[in-house]
Amino acid sequence: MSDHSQYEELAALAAGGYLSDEELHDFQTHAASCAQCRDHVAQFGELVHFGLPLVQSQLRRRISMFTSRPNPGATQRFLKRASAEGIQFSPDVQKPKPSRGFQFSFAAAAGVLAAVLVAFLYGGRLPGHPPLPGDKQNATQAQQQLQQLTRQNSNLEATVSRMERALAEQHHETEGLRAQLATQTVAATSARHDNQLALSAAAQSASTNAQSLEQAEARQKALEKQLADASTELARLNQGRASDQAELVAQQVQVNELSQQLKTATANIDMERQLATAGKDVRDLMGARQLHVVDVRDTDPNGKAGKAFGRVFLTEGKSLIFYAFDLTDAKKINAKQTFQVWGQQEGKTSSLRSLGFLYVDDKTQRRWALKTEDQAAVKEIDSVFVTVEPEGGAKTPSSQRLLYAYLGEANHP
Amino acid sequence: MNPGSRSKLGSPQPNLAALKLLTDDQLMIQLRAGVNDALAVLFERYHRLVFSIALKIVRDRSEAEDVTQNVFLEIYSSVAQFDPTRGTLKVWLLQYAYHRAFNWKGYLNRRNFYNQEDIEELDPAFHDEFFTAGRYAPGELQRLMQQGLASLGASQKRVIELANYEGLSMKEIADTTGDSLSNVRHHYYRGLQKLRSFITQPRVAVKY
Repeated sequence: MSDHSQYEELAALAAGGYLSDEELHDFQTHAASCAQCRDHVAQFGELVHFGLPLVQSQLRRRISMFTSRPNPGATQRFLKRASAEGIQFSPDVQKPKPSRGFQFSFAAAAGVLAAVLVAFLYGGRLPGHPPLPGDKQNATQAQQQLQQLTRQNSNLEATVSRMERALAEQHHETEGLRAQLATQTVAATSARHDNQLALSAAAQSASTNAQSLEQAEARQKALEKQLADASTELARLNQGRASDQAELVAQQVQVNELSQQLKTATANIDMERQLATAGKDVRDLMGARQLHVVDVRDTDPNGKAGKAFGRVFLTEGKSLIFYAFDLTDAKKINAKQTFQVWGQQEGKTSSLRSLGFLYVDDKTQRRWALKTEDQAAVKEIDSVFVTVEPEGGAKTPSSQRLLYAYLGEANHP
Repeated sequence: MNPGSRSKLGSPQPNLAALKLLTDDQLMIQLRAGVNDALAVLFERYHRLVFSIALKIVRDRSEAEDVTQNVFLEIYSSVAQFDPTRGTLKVWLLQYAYHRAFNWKGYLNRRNFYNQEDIEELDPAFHDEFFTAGRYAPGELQRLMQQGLASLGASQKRVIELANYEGLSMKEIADTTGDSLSNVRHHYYRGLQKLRSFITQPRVAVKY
């Protein structure tokens, strides 16, 4: 706290009269030369003296009034002092207002006095007691005194009556205040009870919430741990998977390479086999002594031979090789049909026999072929032809001849 | 004015029973007109309230009665300054009661912190000079004080209430609340400081 703010605090305390002698002296010395602090005292003083009194609660004020009653006779003492200072009041105001007890005792005393006087007056006339000289005059005076006392008694009774009414009003007001206080107390007790219940419920709820929170936090930690473990495992698996994938790719590359090598080797082997077969055929053909080389021609519906579509190599009594070209383009057979090759002696139907089926010998050249080494069959036939038959072949030709060749005499040395 | 004469208003002076039926404002009018019995009625009506406030502050029944008498004598002497449009007589009396009780308490007056002129400047009868007066409509200052008090922290509000409404010293408040004396003094200062700021801060005028 800075020095001057300390003086501002002293100003606030000074406004309420809460400074010690030393503090007050210190502050007075400072304020003598500090207009700001003098203003502070004035402003704080206004708050304390005139602002805060405006907001004191009615209940607090009434309770304070109820518990802080002035000493008896306060009104009379005030009227006496006011009169001493020159303020004049009417006799009604200045009339002493004795306490209720005093009024009762005074009235009782007056009553007793009146009774004594009555007894005295009537007693003077009792038989056996002759009136004394001057009794008549005394009786008259006593009568007058009695009348005066009676009037005073009436006045006192009226005063008592007024005081009793005033007292009743005060009592009523007090009862009202007590009832109000009781109501406020009940309300405050009820409110306090409600607040305690609410506080208890809130505390219970807070405790439950705290437990739930702790449990939730524990679950969360467990789940986080599981998640971390799973993440680690996943990372490890991913790493292994990547490694496996790399290995797989390498293996795939190797397989591809091996497949390619195998394919190449297979192709080479096939080629070599074909070459070997073809070479053998060629060698056999080149070495044959009775070789017929006959072109095969298509025949139109009139039996007229067309352009050559194949060639037959016949080695007498040994083998027959039938090459045909462009069969599918010309005849357009479907997948469930086949080209069946037949052989016979020309003009002798009983010699007809099936030599087999044409197969694709070379796709690039669209070449078909039939090879047979049925020596018995080769010996008996002198012509060949082709028909389109169902898949699996037929026992006798069921369609028109497509290709026909008469083998005739050997025409190749 | 002599009893039984006519008042300054020219009408016959009402008797005590009739005065008791009048309102506060009407009694002040009568008092201003020279009907001194009205002061007696006002005293009878409010001296318990003033006494209870004074007793809270001065802590002595005899001194509290002196303060009470002083308040009503000052009401009598400054009756011309009473303006019912600025507030009720009850509020005026309350302010007088607090002011005179605090002054009696003496830390400002008896030790000559203020000279007599300063005291007069703080007198409610001259409340046009107050920094809070004249800024607000009647009742608005009371509303602002209520709002300002409600805006205080719990400790500050409790210290101010115990000091002003229960008349406890700072030491007694510290004993009551269990707080340290220095903290109690600081709460009191900070509370008043906040109240002052709340009251004096600029506001847009609102009519009710």
